[in-house]
Amino acid sequence: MSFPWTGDECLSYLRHVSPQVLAVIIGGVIFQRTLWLVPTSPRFIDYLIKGLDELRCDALEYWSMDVNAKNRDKARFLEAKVKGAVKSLTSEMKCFSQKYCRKTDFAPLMVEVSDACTGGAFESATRNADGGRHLMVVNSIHRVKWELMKRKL
Amino acid sequence: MKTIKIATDYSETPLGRYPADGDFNGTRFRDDFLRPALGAGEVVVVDIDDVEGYGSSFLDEAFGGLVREGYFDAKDLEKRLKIKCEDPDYAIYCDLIWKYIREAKPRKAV
Repeated sequence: MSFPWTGDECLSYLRHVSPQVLAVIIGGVIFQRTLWLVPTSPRFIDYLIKGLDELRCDALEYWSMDVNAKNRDKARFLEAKVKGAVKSLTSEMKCFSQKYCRKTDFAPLMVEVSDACTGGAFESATRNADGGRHLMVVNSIHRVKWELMKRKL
Repeated sequence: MKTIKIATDYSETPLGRYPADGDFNGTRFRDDFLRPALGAGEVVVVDIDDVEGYGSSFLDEAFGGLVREGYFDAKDLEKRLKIKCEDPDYAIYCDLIWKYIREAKPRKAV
């Protein structure tokens, strides 16, 4: 065949290459649906762990401070951050579980995190720093992190 | 059957345990909404959706407080209290509510 092609020649060429084009498209879809999930799972785990670390920092800062009239605004800000983080991380954890590890239920672990971070005298108008909560916060968050880390090992 | 939707009947931003902590605290929700409804002897459905978020302190005082203060026992609440949450993001709060109800111990009378 020499250029320029006629209409029949173009159609003949397309008929010739279409099985290969189709194979590349189907192969791409399979690759995207299966193999692509492998590298995205660790990135999702890193994202969740970063969120958990931020929650731990905010919760520890909150429980380390005395709450009184002077710093109530800061306490309210941290309370909103901690409450919001628990809610969003719970949803993201559920999404992770549904996509990558259906057998693992993160809900009971997040219940413990919520209880540790937002229980007791959380949102009290006045209270003293509560050192006893530090360990509860650290341990409950660590349990979730470890459950996630096991997926990366 | 009586339904209480926290977001519309009480507040979208319930907060704190005691009256000193804010207007929409757990004690007030328990005493003004839950106790009268449950005291009437009917099944009470509490819809927890559409609130910005709950602190465990609010949930513990509002629901766990029903048992702790001696108003109802956990078995009675399991029969007559239904927690409604259609949004899956709120399922954790449903779990927390039942945890606080089941773990609450009635205070001993002085």
